[in-house]
Formats: sequence, structure tokens, C-alpha cells
Amino acid sequence: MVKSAFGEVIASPGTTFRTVVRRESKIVWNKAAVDALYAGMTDAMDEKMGQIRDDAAAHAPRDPETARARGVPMMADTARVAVYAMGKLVSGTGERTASGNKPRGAKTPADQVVGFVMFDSPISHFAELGTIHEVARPFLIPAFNRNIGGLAGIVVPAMGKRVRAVR
Amino acid sequence: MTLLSPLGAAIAELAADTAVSAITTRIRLIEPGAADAKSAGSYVAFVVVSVLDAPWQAPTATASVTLGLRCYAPTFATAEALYLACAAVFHRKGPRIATSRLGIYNSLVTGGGTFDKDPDTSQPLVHGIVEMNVSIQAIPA
Repeated sequence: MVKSAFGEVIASPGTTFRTVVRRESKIVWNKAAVDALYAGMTDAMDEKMGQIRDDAAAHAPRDPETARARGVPMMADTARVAVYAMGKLVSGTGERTASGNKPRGAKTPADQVVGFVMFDSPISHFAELGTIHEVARPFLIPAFNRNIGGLAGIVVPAMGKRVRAVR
Repeated sequence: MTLLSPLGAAIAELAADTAVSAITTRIRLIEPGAADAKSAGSYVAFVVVSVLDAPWQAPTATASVTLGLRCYAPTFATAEALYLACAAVFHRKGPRIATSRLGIYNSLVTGGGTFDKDPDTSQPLVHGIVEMNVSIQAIPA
């Protein structure tokens, strides 16, 4: 027999109880803040990709005579950046080229920020990796390794700046 | 202080692998051998391994080495088989000591598997990118 604090019988021995959990709170997304986080990450990604692009372009092949003869820009002048946030191109050129705005097969998931540094030349990977008659002269991978460090030092302030603007 | 070559260690691992040697024993450093570059109809299978970057990690006395693999073969199918055999040598492999006493902490295939044709000879090839974390000095016996 169960009694209340005032002595009333509130349940007989045959009564069964069922526990009901009352949800006291629920999560409310601050969508503006979430968007600000993505925007901050995008700002940081754009800045970091720009650093890698500039470094790689400084070490990429420059052969003005060959470029002039073929009527194409020098490989070093074809470097570019594209940044995708939430699956959409948000920074970099939107111009579509023969190879598109991003490497073939590259994924740009809707919940991520993805950056690309590209050389818009059909033979840039041969310069990077080498051919039968030419040794590899890598310029993109070393530029990536030289510049990818210190990412947190760019991401955190960029996110903070965007989030503070939401308040 | 004796410094060891991660490229030499990678070449040795490839040369020692039975799956790779079943397809070719021509494992080359940096550039093809004198008799490797052939014209259409007489292509031969071979692998060229080059270092794309190898920055030292000073605090840990290690180096993060990025290797480029170029797997050439008479056909795309053979080139892919050669690439897969080479990739299996390195992919998700843990700590080991090379015959040169170079310490290899881990290795991973991080890119590649892409089909291509050499721009000069049109020979089929498959590219690969391998990351290796290695010691800078020899590991004592």
C-alpha cells in the first residue's frame, strides 16, 4: 500500500506503476550560429588554399616559349582554388573548364567544407609525378606539406569572428 | 650520423614482394631504366618510384615521405594489377625495419589508382601516392 505525504492511500498493493520520463528540455539549434561556423571554416579554408596555391604556383613549371608555341598559358599561371561549403561552390572561380570546378571523383558532402587547389592544365600531373622521359618535379604536394600546418591558427579566429557577428 | 634513404627502403620492399616480382622485376628509382622505354607493341612492365616530398619532423627525428609510384605495363589491365600489387606492399602496413635498418613506422596509400597514358610513348600506366613515416637514422640492431 502506497500513501501520499498526507496519509491518503494512492495505490493498492495490486497497482502497477509505469515510469514516464518527462522531457524537461529540448535542443534548439541556433541556425544562424551554425551557418556562422560554416562561414568561418569557409573563410579559413579559402585563406589556406590560397597560401597553398601561391606557394605551388611559385614552384610550378614556367616555360613561356612552349606556352607561346602551344597558345596556352604557362602552367604556373593556371593555379586556382575552389572551396565548397555544404555542397555548394562558395569561393573560387565558378567558371567551368574542361576538367570542371573540382577534380573528377572528388566529393563535396553537404555537411562539410572542402577546398581544392588545382592546376588547370592537362599535363600538370605529369610534371608533378614524372613521365618516361622526364623525372618528377613535384610542386603541389610539397606546397601542401609546407603550408597545411597551423590550420587551427586560422580556423579558430575565422570562426570566432563570424560567430561574434551573429550575437 | 648515418642517414638512410627511404626511397631505397621502398624499392627494396617492392623488389622483395612476390606479387610484384611475378609481374616485373624492373623496379626503378626516379627514372626508367635504359631499356624500359619502348614503343607501342613492345612495351614492358616496370615501376618507377620517386620522392615527391620528404620533410623532416624535427621534434621526433622522423620524416614524412611522400612517394610517387608509376606502374607501367603493356596493357591497362596489367598496369592495374601491377599497381595493386605495389599498393598492397605499402597500404596500412605497420612498424617494420628495412634491410638497411631504416625504421618505417607506418605506410599508407593515400592517392592514385588513376589510369593514364604516358604522354611520350602512350604506354598504359597507373599512378599511386604512398605516405611513409620513417626514421631519419638507422635503428640499432
